[in-house]
Amino acid sequence: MKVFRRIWAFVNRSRVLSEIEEELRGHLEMRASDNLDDGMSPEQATRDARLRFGNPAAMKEQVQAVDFALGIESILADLRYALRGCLRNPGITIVAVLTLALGIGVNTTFFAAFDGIALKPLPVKDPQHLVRFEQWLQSGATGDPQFFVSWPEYLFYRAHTHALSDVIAASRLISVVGVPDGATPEGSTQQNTIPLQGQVVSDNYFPGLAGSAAAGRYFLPEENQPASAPAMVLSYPFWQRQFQGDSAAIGKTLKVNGQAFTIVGVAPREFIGSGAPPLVPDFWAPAATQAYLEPGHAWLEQPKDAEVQVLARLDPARLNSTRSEAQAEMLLLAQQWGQSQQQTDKTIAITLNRATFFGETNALWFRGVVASLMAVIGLILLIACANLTNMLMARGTMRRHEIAVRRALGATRKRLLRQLLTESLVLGLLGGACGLLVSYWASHLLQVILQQMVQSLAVLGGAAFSINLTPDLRVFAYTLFLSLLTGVLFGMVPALQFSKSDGTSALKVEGATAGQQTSRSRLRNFLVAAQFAVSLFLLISAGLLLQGLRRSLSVDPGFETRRVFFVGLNTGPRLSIERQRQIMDELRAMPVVASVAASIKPPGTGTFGRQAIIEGDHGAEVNVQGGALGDIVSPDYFQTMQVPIVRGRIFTRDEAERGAGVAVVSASTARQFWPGQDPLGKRFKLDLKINNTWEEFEVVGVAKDVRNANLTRIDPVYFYVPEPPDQFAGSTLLIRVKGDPASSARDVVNALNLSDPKLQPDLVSLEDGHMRLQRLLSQMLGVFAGLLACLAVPLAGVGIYGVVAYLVSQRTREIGIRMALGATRGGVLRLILRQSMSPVAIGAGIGFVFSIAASSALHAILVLPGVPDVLFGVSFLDPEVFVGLSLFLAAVALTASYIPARRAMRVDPMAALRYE
Amino acid sequence: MARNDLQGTLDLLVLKTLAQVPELHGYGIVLHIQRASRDILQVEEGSLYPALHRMELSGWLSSEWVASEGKRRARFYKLTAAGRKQLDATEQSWEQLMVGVQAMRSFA
Repeated sequence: MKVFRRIWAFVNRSRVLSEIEEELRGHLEMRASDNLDDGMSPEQATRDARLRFGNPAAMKEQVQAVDFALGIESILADLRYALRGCLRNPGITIVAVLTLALGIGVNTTFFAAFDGIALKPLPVKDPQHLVRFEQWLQSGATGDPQFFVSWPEYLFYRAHTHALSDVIAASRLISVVGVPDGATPEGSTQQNTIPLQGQVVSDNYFPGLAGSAAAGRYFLPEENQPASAPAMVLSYPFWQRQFQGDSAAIGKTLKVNGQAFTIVGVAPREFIGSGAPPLVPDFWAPAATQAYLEPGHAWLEQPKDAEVQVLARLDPARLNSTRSEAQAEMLLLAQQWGQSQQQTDKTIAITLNRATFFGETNALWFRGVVASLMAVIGLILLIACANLTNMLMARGTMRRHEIAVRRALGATRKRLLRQLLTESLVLGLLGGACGLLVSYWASHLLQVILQQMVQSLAVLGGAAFSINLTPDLRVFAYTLFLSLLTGVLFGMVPALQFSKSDGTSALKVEGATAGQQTSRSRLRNFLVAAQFAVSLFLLISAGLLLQGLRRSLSVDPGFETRRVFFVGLNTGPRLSIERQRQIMDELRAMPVVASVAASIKPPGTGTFGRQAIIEGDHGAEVNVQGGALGDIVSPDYFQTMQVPIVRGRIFTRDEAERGAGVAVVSASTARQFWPGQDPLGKRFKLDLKINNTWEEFEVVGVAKDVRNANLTRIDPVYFYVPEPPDQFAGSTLLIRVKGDPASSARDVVNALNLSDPKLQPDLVSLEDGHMRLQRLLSQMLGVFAGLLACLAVPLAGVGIYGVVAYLVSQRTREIGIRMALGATRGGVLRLILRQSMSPVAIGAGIGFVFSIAASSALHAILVLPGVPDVLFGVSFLDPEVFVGLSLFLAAVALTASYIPARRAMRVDPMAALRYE
Repeated sequence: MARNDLQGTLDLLVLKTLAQVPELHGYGIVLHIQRASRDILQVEEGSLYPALHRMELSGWLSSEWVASEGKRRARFYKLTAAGRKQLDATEQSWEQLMVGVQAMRSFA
């Protein structure tokens, strides 16, 4: 293609220039040597060659000018022409640009979110070279454990690496109780404690990551030593919140779990910590102070406790510091470390990831979710493209005359094609520019919503969540790419079609005969059918999700959620087994407390997924697919949560302490594995410690079905296992209160505070905690679905309207003839509707089948017990949704074609015929 | 109507040259035009190159660097299929121009 040659010549300027120079020089030399052969003196020969040639520099410039004139100028001319065309048809231009703005805007917003989550580097010093350790564990554990190693392991890597510099460690956020310096502002008598989130970091954390401090300084070398006075650096938001940004805060002390820390500085405003997840702590403290933050759990010397996340810098100044080489070195070091240590779970390899806001963005599930969401959102853009193609086809037909004239005047097909494509690209770019505005606004909104949502979640401890969705270069590039792609996508077919038209027949007025039109109308029918199919698919998906949303608001988990409060005991100081029992007894003695129980996790926090083998008939063993759900609970769990036992009994405290292998299972478990049999006395095995040591249990009771792991569905398989005799069951206390839940909870908090001030209890009801989180997720899906539907329906309507309106305008004359020959208005209406609705019917069929297939595929993964059911038990083939929405969309299509069809009905036969 | 005119003359000469001698470098084209026109047509040598470049970008010519005699290398030009078509068109319009000019001159 000429265009590519020109672009190539334009891009490779310097090379082209040097070639021209060489060519000109060669010419002069050849002429001079011929002159020599003719008997001239050397000077004469050169002079003559120069004279004949003219000025080489001027020639060179002329050659370049040719480039410019041919390549760039004609493109500019096309652009000017395209823009003039846009202005000439403002109606079409506005509709096209708005349609594209919506389609591109939605896609760009999604990409901006993806960019913020997975691609954007952390706002730290020199982020290009910063990497985050992700380890691969022997147990195959994925997710959070992959990002944490023990402190000794970190020190080992730091001491032995040659490829990496600035090997930095940061702990998880640690919940502590803070008491600020001096009297409380109002001078009240009550001690002013505040819950805080702290993070302990290695000595090189701030020098390696942050710019200069907003106030004060960072840790001195001696402050990183164990024996020194504890110091802390505040985060900017906490400094603003607590000290109103007053620099007098520097030098004050703040008590953390009773230990005084001196505030030495404030991190810069833009510094949000080291991410993964991007929760900003209230303060940072040197690793040496770790024991103060987590009394009773000092892990600095413990190679078994994976507590710190590691970041490091690929040092461009060092040799062998490419990522792959550093990774190879880390693999070796990880193996050496594994051999020297008795770890619970060995690191077998280490991947060095770019340091982004979140850690898990390489995981397969994340990619799957992103890809499927992108596909769905891409469909909206596709519908928009189909609309525009139709519109351009209609407009192109009106422009046949113009095109034919240009053809007759000597424009080649390529030239016309380029012209037409330039026009659609201009539309695409205009749409993209507006789409960028749409997405700028939408991602700002999204950011605000996300931040408020996270901050409202009590389970996250109220830590500030920091994510940056402002568009960066990548987002701009993506939008540009989308704009060009859509421009080509919707412009290609019309451009090909219309540049093909041969001049003579089109030059005649109204040259369009029926035969010529068939291929074009077939294409239009195809587009209408495809558009309707995609819209129906989006609408049905949205309908199903919205049904799910409706249920999520009213769904009853099957246990008490408003009166049961939970206290996580693994945040804050660790307690001994005896002390925990004592606290439980103290609570039981309170008049406002109805019942107290312990479990590993509060219900609604997902699964505890263990391998399980069920003993079936005649000693046959069945593996539970996807692992079993369950919890380790104290015997009073059922009474506390108000989960009734429908058969058999609860295990006793005595049995639990004896370590008798007895358990309670859910009714659904019994139904699934022992249908029609008495579940009592049946046996199963669990790999409780995830190390292939199987523990046997006998079923002594059956509990009513509840939604424990997931609010979205009845747990398909659920085991309640007694606490092992040697240790306290769980790290969660579940407390059911009497009377007014809020005031009773306050009483409980006060009692706990009296009993142990270090406990820093934060009482949240199950309803306000994880239940809300789960409902929130389905509400988010519902809102997303609603948005999809809001976009899909009008796009489909506008598309069908456009096509039918065009059809009618084309056939005005024919309709006139028909009516002159005696066709009734009703007949004409039926004719138009039949023609416009037949592709709709085909599209409906395809969309219907496609939706059923997609929905069934989604349904298939529910076989795994831990997978949430986004529809909350709504049938995946809900006839109400499928049939109802199909009819609804068909009605939209009918209305969209009825409006122009009515116009056809009103055609005045005489006027239509007179035109001929 | 005869398109172009005298500006197209150089194009015609170059295209015709390459139709007669399949591969030539710029200097060779100059020499050929001079020889074939029996020294009547003297191309201003420098102006040949912008024309060659333009014709190449239009796809009428293709070029290739070939080591010619000695250590020098030179760019050799060749007609493409599009170039042949263009030659026909240019020749036609040239002939029309000639006919037209002739008619003008003999108009009494």
